[in-house]
Amino acid sequence: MLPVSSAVRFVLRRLVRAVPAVGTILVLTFVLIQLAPGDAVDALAGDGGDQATNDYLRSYLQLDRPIWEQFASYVGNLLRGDLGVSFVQGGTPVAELIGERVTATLLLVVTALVLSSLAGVLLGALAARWPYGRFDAALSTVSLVAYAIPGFWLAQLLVLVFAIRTGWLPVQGMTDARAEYTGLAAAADVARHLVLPAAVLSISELALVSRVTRSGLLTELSRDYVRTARAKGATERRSILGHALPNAMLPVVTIIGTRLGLLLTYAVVTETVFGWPGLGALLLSASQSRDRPVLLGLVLLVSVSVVLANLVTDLVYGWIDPRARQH
Amino acid sequence: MVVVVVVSVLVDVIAPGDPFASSGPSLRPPTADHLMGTDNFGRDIARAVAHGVRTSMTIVCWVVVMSLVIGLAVGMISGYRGGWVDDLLSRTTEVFQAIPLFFLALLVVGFFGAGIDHLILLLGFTSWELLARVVRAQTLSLRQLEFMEAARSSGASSARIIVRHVLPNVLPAAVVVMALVGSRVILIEAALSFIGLGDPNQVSLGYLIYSAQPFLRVAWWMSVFPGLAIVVAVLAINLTGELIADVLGPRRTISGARTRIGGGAKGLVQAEPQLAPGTLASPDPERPR
Repeated sequence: MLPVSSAVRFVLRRLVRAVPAVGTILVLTFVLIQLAPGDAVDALAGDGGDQATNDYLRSYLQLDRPIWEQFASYVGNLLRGDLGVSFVQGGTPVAELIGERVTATLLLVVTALVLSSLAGVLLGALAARWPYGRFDAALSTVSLVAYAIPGFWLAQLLVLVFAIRTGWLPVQGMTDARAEYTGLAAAADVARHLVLPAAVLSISELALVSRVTRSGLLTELSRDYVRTARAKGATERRSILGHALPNAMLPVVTIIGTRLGLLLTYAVVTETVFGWPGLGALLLSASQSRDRPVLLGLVLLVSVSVVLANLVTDLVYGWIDPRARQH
Repeated sequence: MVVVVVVSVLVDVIAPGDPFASSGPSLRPPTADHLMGTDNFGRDIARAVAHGVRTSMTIVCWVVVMSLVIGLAVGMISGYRGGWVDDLLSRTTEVFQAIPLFFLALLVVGFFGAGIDHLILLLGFTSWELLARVVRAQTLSLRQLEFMEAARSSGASSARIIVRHVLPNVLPAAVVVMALVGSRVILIEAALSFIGLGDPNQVSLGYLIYSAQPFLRVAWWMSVFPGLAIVVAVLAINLTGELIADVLGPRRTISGARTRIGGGAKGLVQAEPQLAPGTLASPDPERPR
């Protein structure tokens, strides 16, 4: 056997671990489709169709094949990136529908991810600077409440205060429909529309990131190397930022994968409040019109991206911290 | 919490009548007659909120019972048995953890139609993974302790040890986790009914907020009060979990979880997956040995 470096073996092992998760998602979704009352033909033809047409459709869609063959073709189609066509929107491919929307959602999610990471680390560091102090206590109370607030409700409250009452920010949408902006002005326009939804998404995340940063920092600050730094006369700021924080960042990195999943979930719901033209709007219309292929495509997309995000996080973690490769 | 429970049990006494029935002029701000105002159909929001709280709590109770049974069984068996049983159960748990619950719920509702029963079954069968991991870690660390050794050497069977010795010791941690699961369930249910996938025959807090959306400009109360109810319910569940855990076991059950549930235990939920299995039940200096 060829000698393989430990790094490659680590990557391979992680890849192998992601396979059962994706496999389960595929099986689970397939089982759901099979269990669901009525099949694709019922959905397409409705109640009025005659038997011959229905039989033709069934064989055309290969629904008369044995179940494992159907599963094989289901997986095969997915692997080729074929998510099927929408029942409702005149046979538009699902992949196309999703493709149109995905940029807006990504913009929102990535903004929130970056924003909450930066601010969360900052808040967490401040709390760890004076643990059990007034700021720390305030922060933990706020995060307790922030966790209990449903994002869509917070969104409505923010709209009430910052858009409807004060008129500072736009209520809805991603661009101003009444104005034609180009270049920088267009970017500024999108940014203005981005403020509220990104804030909603960030707030629930902030609580989490700042807690993890705080506890990570407190652990690191009690270690010997920080004592050494302090003994050498490093300022408190330098001991925290220069020495302890880099090590305390490991758990913060670790949760990015999980957070991406959460953020996508929250984003979908938040988007609907703000009329943000992302996946959320698509999801909403698909679920209300029971457009199964679109729903399925979205769920698959999100589930698989969460698994992938976790995989990437694992790999990054192993790269930053060689100790993790041992497990 | 007491308020939440009282409201959900006594809803027919304090807020009698059909929550879907109109009871006055529409879109009125809060008054003495209608404490939280009325909606666009003249329905009393306070009454709707009371019924919504009951819907939420019904779902939470069932889901908590279901995942308690599954999670405890999986966690204790896999922690106590070890070996391939543990491997198998741990892998299964990991897979369940990787699936975004909200989207799965969405799919089920989209395929099978909206209904409380579907929601309860789905959330019940998928919400146990965190509990299983925490219980497993606790069981692993319990195995090392002397009283377990004593029980084993006095000839107690595995089943007896698990029920008599492991179960009481993992229960406090389990309660903390179940409180988290409970609050997560409330939020998921609210989000689902907010995007219009709730049970159409039950008043739900999320649905109330959803129907407030077009009236934000004219009727803030339609959104504010149902939302407050969700926040109060979630906080109540979390704080009660904390309280019960304190009463059941005066020691620190999970490192950090007891200090502040919202941040601490949520951090734990998210941060734990990648850490080594033993981290959750890290040896605690305060634990009596």
